[in-house]
Amino acid sequence: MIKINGVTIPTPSTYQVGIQDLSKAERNANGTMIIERIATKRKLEMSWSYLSQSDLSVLLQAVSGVFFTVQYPDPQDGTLKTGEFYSGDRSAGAIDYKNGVMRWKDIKFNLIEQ
Amino acid sequence: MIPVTQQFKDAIYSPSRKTAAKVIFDILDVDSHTDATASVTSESSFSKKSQIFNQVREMSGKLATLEHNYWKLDGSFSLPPKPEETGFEVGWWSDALCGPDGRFGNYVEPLSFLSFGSFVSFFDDLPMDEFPQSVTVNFTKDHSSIGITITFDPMTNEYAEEFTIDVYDSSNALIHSETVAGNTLTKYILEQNLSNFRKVVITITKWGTGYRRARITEVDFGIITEYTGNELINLNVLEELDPISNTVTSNELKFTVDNQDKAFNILNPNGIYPFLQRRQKVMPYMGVEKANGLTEYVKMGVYYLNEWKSNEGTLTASFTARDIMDVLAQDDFAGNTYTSKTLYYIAEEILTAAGITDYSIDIALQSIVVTGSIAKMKYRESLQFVVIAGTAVIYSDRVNGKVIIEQLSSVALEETIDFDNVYNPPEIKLDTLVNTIYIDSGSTIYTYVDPQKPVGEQTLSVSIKNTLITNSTLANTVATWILTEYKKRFLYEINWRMNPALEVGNIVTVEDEFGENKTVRITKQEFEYAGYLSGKTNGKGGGA
Repeated sequence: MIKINGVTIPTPSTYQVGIQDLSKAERNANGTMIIERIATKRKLEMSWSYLSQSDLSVLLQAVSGVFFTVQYPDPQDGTLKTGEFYSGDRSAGAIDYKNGVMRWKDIKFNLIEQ
Repeated sequence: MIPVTQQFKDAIYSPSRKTAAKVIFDILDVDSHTDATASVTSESSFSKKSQIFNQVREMSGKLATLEHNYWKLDGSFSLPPKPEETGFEVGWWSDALCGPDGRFGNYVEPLSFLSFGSFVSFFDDLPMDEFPQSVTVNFTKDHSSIGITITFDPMTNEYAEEFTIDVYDSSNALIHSETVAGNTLTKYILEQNLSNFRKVVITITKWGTGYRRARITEVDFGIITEYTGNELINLNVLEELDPISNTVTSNELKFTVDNQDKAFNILNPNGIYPFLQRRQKVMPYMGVEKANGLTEYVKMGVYYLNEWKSNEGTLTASFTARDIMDVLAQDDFAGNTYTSKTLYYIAEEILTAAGITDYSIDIALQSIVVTGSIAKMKYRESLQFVVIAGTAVIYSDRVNGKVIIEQLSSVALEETIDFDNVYNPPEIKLDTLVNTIYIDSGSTIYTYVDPQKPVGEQTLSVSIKNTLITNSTLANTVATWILTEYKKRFLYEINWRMNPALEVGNIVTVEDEFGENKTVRITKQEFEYAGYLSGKTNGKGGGA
């Protein structure tokens, strides 16, 4: 469903797309609002309920660069879109540690369009 | 004012607008195009091979020739110029035509595996008398660049499909060879650090379309980079024009680009830094998205690189460039004495001495005859003498950076900076009152007193020294002009959204809080783009 730098990442348990309009709005001398539109950007909020150590490694490696290419389903026109993104803070909670292997839950981070 | 479409006008003053900016940066070896000479394997009668170094990257039009399936009778083609005709951009056109498959000769290799039967038909079909077409560029001194850009024929979207670029040093040793196959671009860019080259050979073996002449519009020794969108962090353009030429300034461009790839870092051995040179050409554009979704840009002038630095902390690189007026302030004019010469003649002499070939001088200066002298001084200062004597101004135009000397028009544009587009009502101050002008010709001081000066009013004077104003008639004309401009005492400062189509020198109407809405000549504009456009306009006007 989602690819980062061409690599398919584990399908998230939750996926929320935010459409953010960047603009500078200021009132003119008549008191009317005038808007300088700058850009429209996407914010992808994702979480995974459970991931194995190997899946989590793949996921975190994929978002370790400063900027990376993401192919994602876009709600505006229902197609797969591609853009340059960066990652917010990543968090992962431990379920257990058995036989030297950790399992993980509640992994989440946001991807913000550059 | 730069001509723009009605859609641009609608969009630029729309309550919600999306502005854009871009910078075209010629990272070229600045002397190479004047040092280059070309020899070619063949050349058509209308070809102008010397034009491939003149930095004009588009032909004057689509040239109508009888190449197979080429000349469309849709009105878009025009006949090639005669050899003696000037003013046409043609570039190099080979005399030889390629074969039906686009190849220029060089069929030796396939023969080795052809059977005798096919050998005959092979000879029937192919033009064996035509060889690969090449341009050999020689230089008199070493040059270095970050690459080579070849512009084929963007007008008709035609290009060489297979070609080689061989670069040699002063001992004729090959320092780089690039073989290109499958090209589909009308502008091919070879990105390769090339140091100390003396000769470049471009050999075209296959054209993209059959039965064509090889053609090259321009060869640039370097790369032409366009910064836009995410790559352009900010852009600032400062334009100034003094209507009485009391100061002649150069316009300034500052811009910052993304440098995450560290291309502009000083120690990067594969970076661009070693190839940055003062006076490399930079052209900023500002535009607005129109209702149809397309962005229409306005060229903001031609600037020459002055300073640059990489900002390590922010992974950006910043550049400062100034227009041709700054270049004119670098070197000295030797000076001269003139007897009954027109100001037009003197201006032309100074510009020619400065090496400026692209200029336009108001023909009004042809009827102003002076006897005087100009001492040794900077070219810009000497031209200032001429323009003041001619009641004119000097500036570099937006379109191609041409030096313009002209008497400013006093006709106001049908353009209003109204409250819908300003963030605050304009700040208005009153300029100093002047009622007397002194003009010092070097030997005589001419005095001109405002005829409307009330009796007993204190003398408030301005003095200028100009050794070309040596008779009272001209002194009176110049003094009247200066005084008229000084009488426009309302100084405006407007913090607003900006319209890139407006230029300094334009006269516009400015809305104010009291309904006076005076006409104001724009004297200074500062455009600031950082994702959106804003800025400040200063002007002078309003009458006495």
